[in-house]
Amino acid sequence: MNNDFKNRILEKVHKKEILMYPKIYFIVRLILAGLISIAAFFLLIFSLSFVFFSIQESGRQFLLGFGIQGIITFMILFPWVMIIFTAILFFLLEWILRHFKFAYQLPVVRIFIYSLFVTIFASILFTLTPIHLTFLKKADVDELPIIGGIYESIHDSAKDKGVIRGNVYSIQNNSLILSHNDNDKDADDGTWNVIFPAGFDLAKFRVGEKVYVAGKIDGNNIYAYGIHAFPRDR
Amino acid sequence: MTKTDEELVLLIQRGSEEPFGILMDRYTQKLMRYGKKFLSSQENIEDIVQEIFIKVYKNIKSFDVERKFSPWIYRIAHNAFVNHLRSIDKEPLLFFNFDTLLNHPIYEDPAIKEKENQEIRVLLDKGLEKLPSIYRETIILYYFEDLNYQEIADILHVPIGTVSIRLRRARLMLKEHIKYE
Repeated sequence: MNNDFKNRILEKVHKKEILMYPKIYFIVRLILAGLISIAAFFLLIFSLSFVFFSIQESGRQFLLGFGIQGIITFMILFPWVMIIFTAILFFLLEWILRHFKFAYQLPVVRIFIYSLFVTIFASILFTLTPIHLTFLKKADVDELPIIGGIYESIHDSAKDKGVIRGNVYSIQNNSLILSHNDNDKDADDGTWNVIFPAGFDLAKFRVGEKVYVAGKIDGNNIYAYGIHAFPRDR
Repeated sequence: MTKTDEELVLLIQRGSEEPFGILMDRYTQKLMRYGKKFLSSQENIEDIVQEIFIKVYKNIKSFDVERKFSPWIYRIAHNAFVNHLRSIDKEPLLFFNFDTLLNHPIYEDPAIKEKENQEIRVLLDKGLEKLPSIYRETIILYYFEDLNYQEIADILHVPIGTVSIRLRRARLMLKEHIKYE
């Protein structure tokens, strides 16, 4: 029986029905696998750094300093879709990596921690470059094709969640007038009277300053539970 | 003088057909035995072993003759049998095995292997079927195919510590099984 299949295979080899793949086939395959891995790695870094950038640029990180209510709003406004996309890419890369000897020789937990560390570190470094800001500026003037919409979403209004960005128009005892007009397509422009709890210190804010406010919106009044000024260069 | 597997592969890579027949003679029984670990049907095993040899021939130019041939062919065989099991839904598609999660100490000692060989072979004859497949596969590669931990780790794509822990567990299971029979 075994001789049968041995002879069958040898006959097919002899008749050239079974052919060896040439060496170049394996070289091209290896190069392609390398290129796909590198591309997936850059996409992963890009998407995770975009998450960091969008949180920073939109001012949503300030919500974390506004108490429990701020943290809940932060979780609601978190870019979950982008994070899920990033996680899928991460696990895909992990899976590709585990086909290489240097990776499968290590325990899964250790290779996971190494990969996570490299990914986060590289993403933070990428966030420090001006690439995202350049893309955002291009997206704002509709000059960024394909991914422009993702960048425009950074400045989307979160008014329905009680979150407003704007400039301080005037300051009273425990309230201030806030106005916002970024000339973009979303409907978050307007003027609001932001009311703070009694005893809230508004002395550190200046007229004209750009601030991030979270609170309960009632008509043109916002009963705020948190406010934070943007850095002067933003 | 008998040629090594690697020397035969070099000849095949250069276009000779006959050395491939010798390689098939050398590995047919070994792969059949290895296949029995995965499948019970003799007919299926033969079909898959044929597929393995065809795959080996097609991919022979990717083999580096400076390395050992047997772990390479067993890696192809491992994939072929596991893929077949998955196609008939008998093998779950796992992202990882739990014993690959953490570090395990390595206890590889050829002297102990030599000493234990006879005892383990007797145990294997009596209880191999009772072992879960991941342990059976490791123990076959170590005791029957005479591969070392590193070679088995390369076939299964797991850390060496995992090979070591699987062998230890397999030995214990076999001894337990014999004790209660």
